[in-house]
Amino acid sequence: MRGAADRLRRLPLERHLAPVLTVVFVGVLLSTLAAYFFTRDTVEGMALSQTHETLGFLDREIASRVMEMTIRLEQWTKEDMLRLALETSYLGDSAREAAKRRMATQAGNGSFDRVFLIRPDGSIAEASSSDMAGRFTVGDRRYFRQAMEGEISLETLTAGRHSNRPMLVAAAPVRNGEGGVVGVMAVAIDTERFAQELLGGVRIGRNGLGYILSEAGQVLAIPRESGPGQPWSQWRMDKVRQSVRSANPVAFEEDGIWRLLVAGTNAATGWYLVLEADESDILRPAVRIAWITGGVSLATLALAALALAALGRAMTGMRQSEEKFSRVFMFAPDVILLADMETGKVVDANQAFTTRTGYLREEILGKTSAEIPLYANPADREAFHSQLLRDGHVNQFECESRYKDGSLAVCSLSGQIVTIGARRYLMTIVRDVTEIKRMQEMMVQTEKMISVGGIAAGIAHEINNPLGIVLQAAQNLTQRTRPDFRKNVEAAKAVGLDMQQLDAYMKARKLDVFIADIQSAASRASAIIRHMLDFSRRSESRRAVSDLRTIADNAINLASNDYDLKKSYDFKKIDIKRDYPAELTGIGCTATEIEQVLLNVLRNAAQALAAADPPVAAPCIAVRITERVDRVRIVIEDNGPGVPEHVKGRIFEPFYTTKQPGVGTGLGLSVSYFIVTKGHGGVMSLAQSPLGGAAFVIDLPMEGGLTA
Amino acid sequence: MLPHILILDDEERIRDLLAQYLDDFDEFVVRGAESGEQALGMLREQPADVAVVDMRLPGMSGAQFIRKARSLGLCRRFLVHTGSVDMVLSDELKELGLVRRDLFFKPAGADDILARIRELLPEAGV
Repeated sequence: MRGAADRLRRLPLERHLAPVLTVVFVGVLLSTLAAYFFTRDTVEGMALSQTHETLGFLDREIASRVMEMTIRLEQWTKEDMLRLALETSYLGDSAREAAKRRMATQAGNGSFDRVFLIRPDGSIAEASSSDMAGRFTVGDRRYFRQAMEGEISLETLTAGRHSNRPMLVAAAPVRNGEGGVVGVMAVAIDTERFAQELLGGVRIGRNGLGYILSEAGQVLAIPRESGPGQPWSQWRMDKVRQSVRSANPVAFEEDGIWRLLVAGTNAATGWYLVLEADESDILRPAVRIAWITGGVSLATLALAALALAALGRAMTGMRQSEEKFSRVFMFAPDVILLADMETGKVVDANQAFTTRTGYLREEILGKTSAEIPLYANPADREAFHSQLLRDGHVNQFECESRYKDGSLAVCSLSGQIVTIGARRYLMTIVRDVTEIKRMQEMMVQTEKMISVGGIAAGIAHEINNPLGIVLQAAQNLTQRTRPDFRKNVEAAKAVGLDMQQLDAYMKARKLDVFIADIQSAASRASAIIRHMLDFSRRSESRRAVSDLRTIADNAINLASNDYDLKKSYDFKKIDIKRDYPAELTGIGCTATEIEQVLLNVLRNAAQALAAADPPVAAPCIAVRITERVDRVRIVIEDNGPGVPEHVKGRIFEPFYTTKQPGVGTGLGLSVSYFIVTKGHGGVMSLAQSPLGGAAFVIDLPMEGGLTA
Repeated sequence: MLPHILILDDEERIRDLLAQYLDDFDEFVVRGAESGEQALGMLREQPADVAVVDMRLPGMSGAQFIRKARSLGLCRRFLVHTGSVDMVLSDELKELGLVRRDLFFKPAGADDILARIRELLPEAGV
């Protein structure tokens, strides 16, 4: 699985996540800014071109009106009635009357404000308004002089002589039959009214306005507050001229507000056409749209950031999870193998594989499980695989494995087909159940002993009596064949037997050995019965809260005075170390039984020390008591040779002994194990002592001991 | 005068084997009894210094015999020689002045019993 994990780890996504995120973020940010500015410029341009268009429309409108005005004027001048009206004759009088009516009609239908006929001397011959005729002269006006020279002329007046308001005047010559100019026909339009009609349709933003200036800078028409006729401030006029020259908008500040001005000239009239508004007003849509665009981009960016952050978290979570499971895989106590389903080749193995089987990872990677003789019986492999292919998984398939050192182990195999990426793998978990099996067998043995012990209790007394007879009869035999015993010599003499000869015969024929055999066999049989009884002992009634330190001391005392022990070694030579806590919670137990357990273990340790080859220089047994949360632990350890590997698994097995026949019954540790586990609900195990030898660890529970 | 030893055991062969063994040493006068009642009768005729007593007996038990014999002053010291499986010195026996070393579980070595008797005899006032 580490291989699979490596493959995952090689994904560039994770390592480059931070730079990728940064690049994406910067990219989105740049595009947001670009969108903002581009949108703003575009919409601004659109707003301005719209303004220019308005300006152009104004220009064209003015030009066409003026054109229309001059065309109509020219047509009128061709009428004879006007020429006659200029003559001072009877005919002229009546023609003037007709002309006056006609002019009044023209003025009245709204096309012109004034229509008037001018004599060559500049006086008004007749006008649409009756109060105009003869009241003033226009001989000094440019439009009059130009018309008198035969041209159609146009002039913007700052103030008309009659209305005293800005007027646009068009004038055309009136000719006689010979083509000579006899007077001038003029029409005037109040520029404000004229412009008002045009400007009325112009709307620029909320506070924008359009106005018309004369070449001299006089306001000819303005829709609102500032009335016409006022001279425009010089600086503003400069801005207007600047805009006309550059054909671009000009910005200026007024009362703290930035305004934008676009101006153009009308060719026919020479007027300046100006559109003006707050800059913010004109550009507001641009800014707003830009903001919206920018906002959308920013929102996208935020979403992207969130998504990337989530992705980052997911990646981190995945990595951590992967790390966790990788550890679980590597450090699991059971062997885990990962093999490719297609090729059958092992792609990964964990640490337990090496520690259990003795094979290195490298020895199996890239090979199939058949290439390494792991299966003690190759048929098991076939069976396992066929079951796996049939069901997709196998649970606790038991078989024998052979480890690298040649040892056989009972293993429980569980297999599962897992899919990693696109490939299918076989994951096999191998649990070494050798120990468990052994313990189970031992427990079965112990159970058997318990039932045997029950029977033994019933017959022990009956067996011990005959055993006593056997033993003492044998002793009597020994005694009565002794050649140095006075009574024997006397009795022999009476029957004519030489005791020395008898003794020689006994030795020659090994009768003495046979007698010794009878004695030791009787002792052994009795010891076996005694130990078997221990299995059946029911001593709950004698349970009491006891101090394990006292029990340990008693056991040590018993061991040093043990007669049987003295025969094989001297306990006094062994350095006994006691490591007790100053304070210790009492535990519920049967003191004599625990005493016996400790005695058995001490005896075992002493015998191991005595039998050590080479002998142990400074034999030592340590008895340590420690208090745990819910139990008291007693450890008895020695610096002897330790328990050989092949004995470890069987050390608590009944009747298993490594001692010479007759020295041990093979029941001592088995009984101890039974007393601790079954009798007291505790745990007894064998460990390696820091002193070098064996360490027996006995845990007795504080609670439950009394009720077990 | 030789010290008197009484062996009380209902099983004749055990009684006899131990008696024969002890007798060989010519150190004691050894008698045997098969029940507590019989033993008490014998002790009334001639008290003993040490009695080797089986616990499980027909009629009165070994413990009852010890109590009786002791209270009558017919024997000073007692050894228990039992086929019982109860390995512990009972409180009753403790009261009667017995210690762990006075307890012999069958099959017990006759030599061990002899050794203990020899230990006890000076205490028994012989």
